[in-house]
Amino acid sequence: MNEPSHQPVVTDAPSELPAAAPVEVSSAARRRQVLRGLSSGAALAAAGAPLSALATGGRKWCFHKDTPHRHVKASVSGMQSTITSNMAVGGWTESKGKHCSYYHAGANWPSDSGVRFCRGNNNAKFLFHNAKFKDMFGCFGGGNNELLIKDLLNKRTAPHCHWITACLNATKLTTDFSYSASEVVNLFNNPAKNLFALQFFRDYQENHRS
Amino acid sequence: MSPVIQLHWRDWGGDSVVFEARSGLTQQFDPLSAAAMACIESGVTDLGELSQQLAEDLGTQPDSTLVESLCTLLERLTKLGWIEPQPLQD
Amino acid sequence: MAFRLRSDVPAVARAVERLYADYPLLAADQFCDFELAVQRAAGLRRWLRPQVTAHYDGDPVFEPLPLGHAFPLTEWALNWCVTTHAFEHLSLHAAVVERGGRAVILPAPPGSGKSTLCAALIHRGWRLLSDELTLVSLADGRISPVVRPVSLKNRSIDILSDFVPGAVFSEPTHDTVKGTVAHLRVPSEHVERMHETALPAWVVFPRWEAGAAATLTTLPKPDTVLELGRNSFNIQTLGAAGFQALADLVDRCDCHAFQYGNLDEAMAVFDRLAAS
Repeated sequence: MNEPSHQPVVTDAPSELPAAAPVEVSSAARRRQVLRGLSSGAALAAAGAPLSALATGGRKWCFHKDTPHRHVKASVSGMQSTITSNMAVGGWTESKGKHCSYYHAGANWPSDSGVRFCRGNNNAKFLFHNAKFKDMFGCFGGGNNELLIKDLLNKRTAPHCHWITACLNATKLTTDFSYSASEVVNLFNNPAKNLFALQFFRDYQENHRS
Repeated sequence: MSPVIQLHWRDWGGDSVVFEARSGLTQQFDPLSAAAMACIESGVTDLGELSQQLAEDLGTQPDSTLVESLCTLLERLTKLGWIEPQPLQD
Repeated sequence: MAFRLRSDVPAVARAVERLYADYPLLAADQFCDFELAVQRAAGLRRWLRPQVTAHYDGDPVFEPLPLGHAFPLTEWALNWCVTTHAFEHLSLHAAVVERGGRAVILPAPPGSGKSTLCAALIHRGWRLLSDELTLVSLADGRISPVVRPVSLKNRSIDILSDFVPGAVFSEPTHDTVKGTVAHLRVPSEHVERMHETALPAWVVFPRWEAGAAATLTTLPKPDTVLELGRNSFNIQTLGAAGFQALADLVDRCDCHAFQYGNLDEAMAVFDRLAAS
């Protein structure tokens, strides 16, 4: 796999905890100034909403199944970006995806009161015994898309097994996996990201075989 | 303020966005939360002092609603790892 | 950006001949950025429910697809090559078109009508910079073009055929996971200018909705930063440089949400935008 020719920008020495960076005076002053222009009511009302974030996977790492010693950022966009030693400060958690063969056994599926399921489109539950791929991924029918997800897990010649496995990992591992099930479905349905995501899930996230 | 955190701020007169370099996380902050962070980045470590400074910015006195909002914010920032609780002085 | 493409699939050759006729052809010994091979699968899959594979620099990087999907696979593979090597750019999943030296970026999730809108704009006075990949230079914030055929699906193919009489399409590919897909040839004058960069002036999030009046509403810049970031391929990889590029981009642009239900009305809105 080709490696990127640049490394992420690192600004601190790895061998010791750095002193707090000097505050950008203009930025801090501006933020205080903005607040001075608001009423107390308006400021407190805005503060009541949750913080919006741009986050895909957070600080998680994974590895390619052929090079398990080389840790890379566990996100579709971060794929192939090696985590350097000085980025280990603060601790990156491992994204623990299971291989699709793990889910051949229904007993390994997520279960709710004995009912085996996988989350998919709109984060809804899709049942082990009767869910079709096209319904779980909200896509067009025909061909393999018409088949049951439990049967597609055995069909290694089609990419579907990797997508289903990604959703199963998301459902079973929750925050220990890079993406939620609905994020996996969105990646599938995004024509610009579909192939990147497939490669990521297939080669990097299905890295625990048991 | 956690010493390993590196923040890059941008604002346009209302909400701010901030990028934290270690985690790669980008967050949107409302004006009160952004101003609170400005105080913390400048060295404020005490909830009372934080409330007082921000109340002055708002042209009011610190009250329970403001303190409660700040406590919620501080809890979120602690979960993010951006601030660390300090032990009480003996 | 130069590609060398090898393929033993006649449909790929026909599509390239139809859609890339205006592009410069390099000599066999000239340097190229990417070597791509789209070929029939070997072994049993050459004959039994035949499949096609894509190899980049000799390495298989994609799952095999049905043989009938060979040309869409080629286009997707080309996108993949560009996106995974755009190290000096912030790359966004967005269309981008230019008029009067100013570019409008159209990010959107699938199904929002981005490509339909883009295809219409490039036949109404706007120059195509890219249909899928917006590359923002980290050095100067300018948009680097990736001028390639516009990918359309399902009803959009018929809509554009009516909107642009005489438009040239690839043979449609049916039964993909997206339904029916076809690619629209780029006007030759856009191909001739494919090395001209442009400064971004607007970010417009389009959304098609049947019967909706064409409406442009201003978006707050912080919200735009997050939403554009969600449409980025590589912001996580670029780190602080990516964030700064994204924030600079939003700083420079007027940001809007755009709802429309009729292409002619949409064109009028963009005409007013260009005149502003």
